[in-house]
Amino acid sequence: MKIKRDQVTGLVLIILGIVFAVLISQFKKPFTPEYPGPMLLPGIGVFGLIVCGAGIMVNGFRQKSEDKTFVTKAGWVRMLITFAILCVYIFAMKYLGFLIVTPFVLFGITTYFSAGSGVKTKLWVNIVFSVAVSLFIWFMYVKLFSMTLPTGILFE
Amino acid sequence: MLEHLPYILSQFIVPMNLVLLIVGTFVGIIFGAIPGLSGTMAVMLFMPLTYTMDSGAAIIFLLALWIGGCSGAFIGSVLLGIPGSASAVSTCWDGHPMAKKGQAGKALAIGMTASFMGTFFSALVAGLLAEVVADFAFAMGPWEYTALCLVAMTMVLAISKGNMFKGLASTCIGLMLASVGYSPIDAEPRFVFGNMYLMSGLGMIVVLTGIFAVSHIVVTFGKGFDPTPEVSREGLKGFGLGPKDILEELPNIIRSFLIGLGIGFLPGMGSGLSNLVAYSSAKNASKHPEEYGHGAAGGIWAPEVANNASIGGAMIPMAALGIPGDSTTALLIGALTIHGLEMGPMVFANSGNVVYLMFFTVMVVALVVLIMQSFGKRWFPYILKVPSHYMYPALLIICLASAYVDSGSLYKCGMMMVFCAVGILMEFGGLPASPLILSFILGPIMEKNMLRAFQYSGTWTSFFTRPVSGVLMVIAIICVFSPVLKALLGKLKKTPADKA
Repeated sequence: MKIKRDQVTGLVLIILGIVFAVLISQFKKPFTPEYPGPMLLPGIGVFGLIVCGAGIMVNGFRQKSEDKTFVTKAGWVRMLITFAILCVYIFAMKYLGFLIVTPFVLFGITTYFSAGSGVKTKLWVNIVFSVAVSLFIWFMYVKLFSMTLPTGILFE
Repeated sequence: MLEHLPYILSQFIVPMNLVLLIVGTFVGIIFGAIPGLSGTMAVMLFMPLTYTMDSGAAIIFLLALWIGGCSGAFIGSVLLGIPGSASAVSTCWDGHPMAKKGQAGKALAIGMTASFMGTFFSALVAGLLAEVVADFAFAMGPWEYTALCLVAMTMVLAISKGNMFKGLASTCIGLMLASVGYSPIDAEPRFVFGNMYLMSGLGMIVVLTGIFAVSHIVVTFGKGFDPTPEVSREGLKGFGLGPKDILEELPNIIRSFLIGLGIGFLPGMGSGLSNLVAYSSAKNASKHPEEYGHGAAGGIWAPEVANNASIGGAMIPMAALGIPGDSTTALLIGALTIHGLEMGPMVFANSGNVVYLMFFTVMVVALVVLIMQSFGKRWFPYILKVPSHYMYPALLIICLASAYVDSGSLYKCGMMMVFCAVGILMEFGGLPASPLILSFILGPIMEKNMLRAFQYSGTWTSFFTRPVSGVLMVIAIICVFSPVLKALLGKLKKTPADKA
């Protein structure tokens, strides 16, 4: 029998609910019917997660039709690579700052997105776009609205 | 109300505010028009830009983004047959067929005029009624506020399609995320794990942009971008609408306006529902219902008047009670809090000028949108042809810049990526994002009021014994169980013959 998406979702929610229930039980201020204290909001959340998780799981067991494909394997790889690029971008900004890293990352993502969606783009267009957009965003935040963007540890 | 007029006018003679108004409206229209983006996303992404502005400029900019986004949503519906956002779903049903008949110009003109009427007059009504509602709200205690928050969160569930548990699970995730940091009243650290970045909570921009925007872009790329659409520019010359067309549809316009205003006023409901209700009401009331779905003008007037009338409707509980009418007003409440404006009945006494600036700004933006769309109609097809492989990377960079600006720390950018992963998993599991937005913003308000109520009365029964909160609690319970009740009623209605 193929595992349904709802079964996985339900199980994850139940596990999350149990983990948070354990964490809530460690709060110092006790829960009393007269005054529930800090356990109140997360308590409602945990109760809901477990009940809804169970409900979604039961629905998954009752579901007769096959799940529609969420994303193909190639799609998951594309998502994972995009996610990784953004994580590396954040890490690189810490050392090199927004203005140096962003054009390269933007060029990388633009080129990757166009290749990933089967669109042919010109190299110089991507370069001009990446530099122009990076400068525009930097100008908008830093100069126009007097905010700070990462300057990079190496350049501080 | 009139005593605030000098302040309001003083805001509109500041050149920078006018620039923000025009730029915000323009950006909002683009976000509204492009399927996959929305006015809500525009408000979310550009909210950190307002941190250094004074409250007047911030309100003008954020409202311009919101109204522009709401009013631009019909463009994709008419020209592509794909709604720019949920608020323009039913506009597709007649807008696109009319465009395919070579009357795209007329369909767009109806959309523009209807959007203007809905927004302008609903903001006018909101301006007149909000203070009256606020006077009633003074009689409300923490019990009533708690119940109102619950109604707002559960009403979204009542209208959510498909699995009720999924909507409720999304609400609960929002509540869990809202719990992070020091608890109200008792100041107990919750889920902070000794991390100083978590002490003050997770931060609205980091959570919502990660779950709502970044994950959406990553998943859209994973699923594969839709090819850039071919959009006909035929029939886009001239305004395409006369006074006779408006008069013919006047009953439909008034009915749809009242539906939009009423649904917008209900906490948790918004334009996503009002356009559908108004469309079906217009079809039922029409002498020629068979024309609906084949390019009937009434089928464009109804949803567009209603979804924009929901704006004014949503602003009433937002200003008078501090309870959002929909997910965008939830964001706006958060943004205004950052500017020191606590929405609720006291806001009229403390910052009445700013509240009336809000209503006035919406009316001005409605006019600016109409002018911009009237003159820019022939360029609408180009907006829809913006290539995804350029637009989405730029938006990703803006998302991360927003997270950094919001907190001044790259740590929060990393946290945004964590919430991007949460958003991807939620989309994988089919959990909707709107209930999470509402519960994440309403959760702390509800908790604070609930704890106060317990401090005053010492028992949970007081939520049911006070008349107003009792009624609201019953409504909230009905909303939670409404899908089950609907299914049960459906089964009961089936005759034995049907069952056989």
